[in-house]
Amino acid sequence: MQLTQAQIAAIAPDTQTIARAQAVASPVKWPAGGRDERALWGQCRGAELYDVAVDLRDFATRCTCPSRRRPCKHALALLMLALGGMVAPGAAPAWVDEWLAEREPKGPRRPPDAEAQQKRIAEREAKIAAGLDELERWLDDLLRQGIAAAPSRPWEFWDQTAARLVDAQAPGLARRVRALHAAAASGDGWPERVAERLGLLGVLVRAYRGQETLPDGPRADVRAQIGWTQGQDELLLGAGVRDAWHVLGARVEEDERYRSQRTWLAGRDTGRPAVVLAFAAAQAPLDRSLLPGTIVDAELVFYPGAAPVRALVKERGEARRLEAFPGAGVDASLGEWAAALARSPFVETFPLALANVVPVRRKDGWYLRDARGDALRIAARFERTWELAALAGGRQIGAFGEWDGETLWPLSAWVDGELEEL
Amino acid sequence: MTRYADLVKVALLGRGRKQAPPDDGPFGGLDLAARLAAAALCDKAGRLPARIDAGGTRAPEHDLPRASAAASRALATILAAFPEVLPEWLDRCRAAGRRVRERDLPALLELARTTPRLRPAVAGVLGGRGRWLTGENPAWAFAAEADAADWETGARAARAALLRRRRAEDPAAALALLESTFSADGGEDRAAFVAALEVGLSPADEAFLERALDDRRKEVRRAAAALLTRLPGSRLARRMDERLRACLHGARVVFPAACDDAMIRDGIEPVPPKGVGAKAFWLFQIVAAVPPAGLPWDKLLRGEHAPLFLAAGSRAALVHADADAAERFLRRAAAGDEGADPELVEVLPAARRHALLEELVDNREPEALALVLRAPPTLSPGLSRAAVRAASRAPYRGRILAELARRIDPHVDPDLHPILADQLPVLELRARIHRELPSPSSS
Repeated sequence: MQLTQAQIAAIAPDTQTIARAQAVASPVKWPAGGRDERALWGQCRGAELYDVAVDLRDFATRCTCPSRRRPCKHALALLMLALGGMVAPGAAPAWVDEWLAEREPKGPRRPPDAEAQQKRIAEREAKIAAGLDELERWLDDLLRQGIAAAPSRPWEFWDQTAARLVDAQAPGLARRVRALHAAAASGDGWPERVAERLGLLGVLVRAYRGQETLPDGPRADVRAQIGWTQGQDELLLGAGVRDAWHVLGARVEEDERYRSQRTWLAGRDTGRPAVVLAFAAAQAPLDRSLLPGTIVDAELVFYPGAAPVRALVKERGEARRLEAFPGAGVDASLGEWAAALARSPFVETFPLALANVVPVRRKDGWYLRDARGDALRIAARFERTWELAALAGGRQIGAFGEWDGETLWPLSAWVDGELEEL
Repeated sequence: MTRYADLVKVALLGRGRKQAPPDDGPFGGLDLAARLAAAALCDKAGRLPARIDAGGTRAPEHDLPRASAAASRALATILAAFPEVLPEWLDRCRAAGRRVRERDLPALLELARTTPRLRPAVAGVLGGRGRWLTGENPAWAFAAEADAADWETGARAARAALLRRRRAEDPAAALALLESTFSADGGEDRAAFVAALEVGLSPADEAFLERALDDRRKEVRRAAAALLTRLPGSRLARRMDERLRACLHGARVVFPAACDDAMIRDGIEPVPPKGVGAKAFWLFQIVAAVPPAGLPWDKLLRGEHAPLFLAAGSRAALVHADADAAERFLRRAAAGDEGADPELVEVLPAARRHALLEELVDNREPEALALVLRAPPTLSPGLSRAAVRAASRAPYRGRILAELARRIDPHVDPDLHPILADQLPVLELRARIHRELPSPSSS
């Protein structure tokens, strides 16, 4: 695929490693090396001679050096050399072939004991049912007494209820209850936000109990919202959607234990949005095989739901540089958002690609205004508005971001034919 | 259907209170929750975008080519891990006639806001887009450029910058602009504007500066005296020269008897700092004001007042940018004599500076390396080699090598790499900067 330095920087564990890699990215340090359509490989002279390889399909790397940082500087340097056109095509040595073969996805695992599994599911259903009863009583109490005191409730008030829902094996509900704490502390308009979220919790209680009466899509949504997950292996057996997918932006969020990444895609021919999630422990690098600013032919398998957006990559080809930005005006984009809500009330963030918008600063914050004068507010906590303003220079640009119904969190800007990550 | 806002009111006050329900819909059990969710959903799906009238300013077309992608990546590396290399990057970018990438502007302007000494270098790489951006954010007004129409209303820094720009184009017109508001400007403004006359300074400015010697504000008087001192043949320069001749008879020194009003008017401080004799202090200031050429330095620097003359002479060499005198005093500084200002290395043209420093380092003068660390990048290959070798013998070599790594030729001999092992990332980074931002003279 066509590499760029920004992409190399993106997969690096930190800037120091980039700087060190730059010092190693000199042909004199590489007595051997080559590339084919699958991988780059080479030998790098360090304290010893290290065998280095990069799988070009997903940028997984391998190196015999003792560094604990991955990708290590040798792998990054190999990518830099390739970027500089200094790695010639050739036949892969045997150890590269073996490594690539090891990395091929394995066949589905042996199905576990069906009877034991049925038993576990039944036990969990019983716990969830009891958890829902308790949640209903809690909601009923709250709405009977009124939510006026919600902003002064301590974290424990929400966390205790959430913890009981975790015990009831309904982690999705627990997350929604914990989010009430932030909603109650969100300043102006908090009653609307808290009431809406309490309402959705009530809807989930009812919908889960009556799930047999729901069509497949909404039923899958409700089960996912409660916290049932679907095995990836099983999902990948199903048919996917083939398209050339624009990779438009990635949002990384951290909590104390791990980092999560949402990479947003848009199908060129289907027009479908998709999001691919990745998780990593606090220090480990996140998967960056889908790089914003590229377009990749791929088959995506969507998690079932009424408005499926979350997806897994089943098969993919090489990524190319993105050459067009699939944007729309503010009004049409909000139409898409409304349509998504109509299919599933549980949608929390929705990808918006806005064409021909200008960042505008007003007394109450920043907006993106389109050619007709319709404007969406940029999230107050977003810190890179000045970068966005500098990129635009008061002119119309394309902007991509996550919309939550009130504010947009920009993730990239399309300026002069280039996607700039924010 | 009942409005969401009315349902939220019920939720706020509580279903248990004796309040009139907004309608006769169901409120028991989960009913209120379900109705809240439905009404909220309709509200959310139906919300209209804000309407904002067209307006706001557009940046001008780009006036400079953008720094290459590789140069921008080097800048990102610098900002993340090697801030000590930033001045060199900025200088080379400006010298190459390039501007920074748009997205790097906010980070650079923030740095310049918190680190004022970077401001001139940052201003040189902003380009039209960057200058436009400084007009959008009041926090970056220090870098905003006033145009002539703003002369009467602009902030001090912007007006001083405007004045300096106009001086470079048309010194007389700029002086007229300054005089048009001078009597109404505040004291600190006046001092900043007088100092700006250093750009394009000529005898045509003398009359104005001579009047400024009588300004009611001390900072203004001092700035005017400093400029007149540097103006060859000015009346002030002639007066200083006469004062010096009264004090020096050959190499024999007669200290001034008093500091009269005329001396004070010409910028001589009457009150010495603690521990310094008043007469010696007056003589120091007189010597420092007069061009150093033509004085019997060999004798003066051997006489009993040698430290005074070394300090005053090096000051004079700085003020008058006298390279021969600078070299003389730098040799003394390298030998360890106190008083000579190491800043003199900047008075010498680069080639002469590098040759002199290389000679001093090769002769193992005790303070030679300290002088090398005052020289801006990039040192000549010969001096780079000599300095690295000398540093490898020095105590605290780690710190010295780190300082040297910012200055030496980044393509220094590979056989010195073992000494510079810890500095190789910096040198590699600087080599990339040199490749991506070639200086006009070397390309």
